[in-house]
Amino acid sequence: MPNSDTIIPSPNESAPVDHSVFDINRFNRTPEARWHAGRQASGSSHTGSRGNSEDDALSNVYQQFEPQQSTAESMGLDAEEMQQVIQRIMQTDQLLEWMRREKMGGLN
Amino acid sequence: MAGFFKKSLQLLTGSDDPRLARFSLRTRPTRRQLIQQESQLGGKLFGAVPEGYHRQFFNLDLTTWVWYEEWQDENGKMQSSTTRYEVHENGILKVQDKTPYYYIEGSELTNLITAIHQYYEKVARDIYHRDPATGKLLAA
Repeated sequence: MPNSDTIIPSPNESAPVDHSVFDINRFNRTPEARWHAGRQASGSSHTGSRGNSEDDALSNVYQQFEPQQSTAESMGLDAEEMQQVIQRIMQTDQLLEWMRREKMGGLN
Repeated sequence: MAGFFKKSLQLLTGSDDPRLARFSLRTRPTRRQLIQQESQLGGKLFGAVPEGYHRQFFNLDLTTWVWYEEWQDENGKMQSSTTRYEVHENGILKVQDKTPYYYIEGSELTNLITAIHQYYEKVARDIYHRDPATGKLLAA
């Protein structure tokens, strides 16, 4: 039964973990890549939709829970590899968002 | 007249059920509808859901993944649990009510990464009909 100790289970298809969620290089010459580039250029960040005061408040809260051991160390990744994992997850999130907008008719 | 209407509806939508027709005629889904579809697929990534359970796993926005479960307790009362996984530059923060936030690690982090990968692959193909690797529309 779910509780505070709930740990996300392993997905059904126990494929080996591929830290490259997808190969971003294959998007380089596509409209999708231009969409990504546009977002980067516009300075959209993961907190872009929040107000500054909320950002500050969240930041303060999160700083109270800094782990003793960093996530990267716990996975056996160095900081650079962990950054790549995080970046690719963020890129995946952006792609999902792009597909939704396309499906909705290109509305922003 | 009713027969004409019914036939027209069937031709337009492939269904003579007015409730389905209303849904089918809306060719552009809303963001909420798409996320709802995604969440149904996402909930199935982790195996069979026990009877009486309802599970959803979905990408909410550019930095948030949600794990939601709903079930009936021994007294027949509905219970639910929502877990948010927030993607930050330095790690993935797990946020649950009444629980200190922390950055996930170990098997939970590995499982989440795998789940995100599989979720992306599945919704790209099944909902958006796109090749997950290139983003191009798949041939019908």
